[in-house]
Amino acid sequence: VIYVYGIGEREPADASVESIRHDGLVAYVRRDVEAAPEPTPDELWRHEKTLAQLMEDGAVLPMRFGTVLEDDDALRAVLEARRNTLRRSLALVRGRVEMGVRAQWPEPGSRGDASSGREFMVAKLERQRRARRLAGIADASLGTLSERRVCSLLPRAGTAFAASYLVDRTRIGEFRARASAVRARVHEADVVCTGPWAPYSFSEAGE
Amino acid sequence: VSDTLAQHQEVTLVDLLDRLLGGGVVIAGDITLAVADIDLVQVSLRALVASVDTLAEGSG
Repeated sequence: VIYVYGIGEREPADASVESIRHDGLVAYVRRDVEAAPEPTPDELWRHEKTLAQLMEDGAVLPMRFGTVLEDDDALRAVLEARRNTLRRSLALVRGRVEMGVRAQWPEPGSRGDASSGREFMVAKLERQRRARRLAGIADASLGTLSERRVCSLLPRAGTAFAASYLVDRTRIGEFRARASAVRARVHEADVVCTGPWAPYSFSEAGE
Repeated sequence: VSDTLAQHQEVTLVDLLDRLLGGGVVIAGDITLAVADIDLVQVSLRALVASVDTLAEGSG
């Protein structure tokens, strides 16, 4: 089988990554696997670091971790079937990176002290309200710097929101500075800015 | 910068998991993880997220 890191437009400069070309699209692959790798931290970082390297040379759409295909023909068939969507997505992410912003509350989300179903619901609604407010504060500052954004409220206990912004490479510094300002302004939660990432959250432009 | 990345590497594992396992191009009909492996993935993830939470609490 072949493991697929991502899809772009140019031959990789990195000799350790192989490529399969089809009709102007280039898939970045690895052939030394017999099955999808397990999602260990090392393998996850390898996937991400390989993509970060590839992104230095041009637009890349990252594959979801663990994507393997039977052979080159199977991969070419995918590139052929989805070439229009893939090209649209590549045009969207060209020259841009994904930046992450999330807010962590200091205490665990559920304290287990709600004595009734009603209190539980009230507490849950209150968390949603606070999360929406925090996401709004961040977005008011960061949204104008980005081409697109996605945000998930309360993705897990303790996290108010996790957002991803598609940002021009030239504006990464500005984005980080604004994220720091948001962090300084928000006291009830720890606002964390990560990236640049490959555009995982913006790989399906058709949606 | 690399120092900072190393420092925050454990914490950003959560961000990494969100993106690598929840985002990216999904190919319908590919050979993804076998059913048995999916359980393994979820178990590994729970362990990872738990250890990240512990680290985050410890560093506070």
